[in-house]
Amino acid sequence: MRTMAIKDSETRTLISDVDLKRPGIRAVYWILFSILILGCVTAVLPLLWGMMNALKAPKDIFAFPPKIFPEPFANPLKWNWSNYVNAWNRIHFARYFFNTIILAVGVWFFNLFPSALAGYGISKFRSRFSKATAFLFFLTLMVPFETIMIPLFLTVKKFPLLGINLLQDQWGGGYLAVMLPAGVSAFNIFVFKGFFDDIPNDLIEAARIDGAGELRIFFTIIIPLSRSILAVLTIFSFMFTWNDFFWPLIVIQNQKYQPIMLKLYNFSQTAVSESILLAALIIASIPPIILFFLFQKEIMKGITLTGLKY
Amino acid sequence: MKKLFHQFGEFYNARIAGPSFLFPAILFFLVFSWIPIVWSVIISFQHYSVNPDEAPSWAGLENYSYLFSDPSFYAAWRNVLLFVILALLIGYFIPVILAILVNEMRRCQGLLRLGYYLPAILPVVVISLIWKYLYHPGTGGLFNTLLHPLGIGPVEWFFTDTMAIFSIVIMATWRGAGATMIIYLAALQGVPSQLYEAAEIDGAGIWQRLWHITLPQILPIMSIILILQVIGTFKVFAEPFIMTKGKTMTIMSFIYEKAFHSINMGVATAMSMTLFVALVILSLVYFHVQKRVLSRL
Repeated sequence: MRTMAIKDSETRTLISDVDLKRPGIRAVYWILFSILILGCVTAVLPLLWGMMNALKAPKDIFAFPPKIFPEPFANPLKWNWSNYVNAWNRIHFARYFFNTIILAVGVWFFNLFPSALAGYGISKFRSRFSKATAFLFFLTLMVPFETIMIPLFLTVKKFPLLGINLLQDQWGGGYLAVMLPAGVSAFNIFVFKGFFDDIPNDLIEAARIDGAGELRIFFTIIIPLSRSILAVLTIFSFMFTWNDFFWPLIVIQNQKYQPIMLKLYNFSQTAVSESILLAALIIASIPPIILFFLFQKEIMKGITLTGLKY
Repeated sequence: MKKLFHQFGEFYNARIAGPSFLFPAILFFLVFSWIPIVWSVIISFQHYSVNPDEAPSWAGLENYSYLFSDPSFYAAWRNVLLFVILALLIGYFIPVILAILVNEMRRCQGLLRLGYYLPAILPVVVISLIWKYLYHPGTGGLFNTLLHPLGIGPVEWFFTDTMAIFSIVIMATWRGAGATMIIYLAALQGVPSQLYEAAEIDGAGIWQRLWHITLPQILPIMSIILILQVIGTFKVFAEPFIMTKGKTMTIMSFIYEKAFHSINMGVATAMSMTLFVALVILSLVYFHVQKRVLSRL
């Protein structure tokens, strides 16, 4: 597996430690350091702004001169904590979190499983057939989902051969329409292929000599070896579903079944006070933030590995 | 029976194991990618009735001629091109600069990475709705409050399409810069230290090292990010849809509106074909440029 060189005292960057001893460069270094820290604060600021303002009375949010802290400033116990409770109850968060998790698990399965198999097939069973297929997979990278959205919509609305409408409640209310197209991921296939390329063929050969079948080799040797890449792609897949908006907007029409982001959007279109909406937005951001802090190492590795943002 | 099963197992392992690993993916690609790609070309030459039971009829070039006579087609393309230009002008170099600076920091590097990356994990719906409040048109909106001491404003951030696009690009830059920075940081850490040491021995200063070593080393990644950013911007939808209620038309919101409100699948697909052609041209330009850039290094 290609791991990035980890920076230690041996490696060095543009500016050497000798450079840094010069007073001019030292001063610039500290100025830049302060600017970077300030930029970092700016990056987090809108989230903090949201958290703070969810605790204010709606009329104080856009007050001028601005009130930075909720009133009364000295007594945080008296801030409008009830806004968070209200937001939780009015959105029925438990139900919509549950919807999103169901959706995420389905998307995860279809997003990873066929791609892992295909990546393995391309990497370890080289033939004219596998090369041609790999090329056809590769070509689809040039055709983003958005450009074929309408035939996709017609496909899930009248599923080929079966003739059923996946958007109807009795056929999953659009859930299958979100989950199944996730099975198309040329990107994941090539990430897996790259990973499997680095697994030595001798290992597979040895298992074959011991009499293991090909499927058994894949499930009992290859999959356990791929835990790191599976972890990265799993987190990305979950983050993606949690944040996804466009395709669910089109195919999940029953309000009760919507994932959380769609529900939030619809909620924002109703007459709701700014503080309650902000509280709802903050609550809905907590799961991705928790995931981020739990798995930051995997996420950072994933970005550098795949060049994707999540 | 057991013998038969065993024989099948041997036959499977010897003959069909390889292709069988590809079958699930092939099935998914057929139904959800390869057929839809061909089908979208067909739909763009068809009339789809609002009544789903009625078979589509051939339209020839009517969808395209309708499209090219529709002023909102030009508005959508103009807006998206403006998005692309502004996003490049405002947002393209910030991650590069951030990465080079953060990479030099001897302290708090981990903290800086985390902080800058944080906005990228927040859902686009959440960000767009929070920023809509930050862009509140009254003096009480955060940005107008900040501009007030300078004697500017209060600004109506979404008043015209151009203003709205500018405001959304600022937000998108804020959101995406940290994640792109992480990619550049990985590239920077792959720059061999011997290059810097050799340059130092030859007496190269910091700027010379930056110009002749650091930048050429990350140039391939920069060109990839450039194309990814442009392609990503062509597909912009959620931010304008949420922040201006779709008033700022983009290619995707044009398709959405035509397909799901006017129920005119043919015209909507004709529009996605124009997007498709643009993306293919971009990819070809990209491969061409990359070959040139890489061969010169």
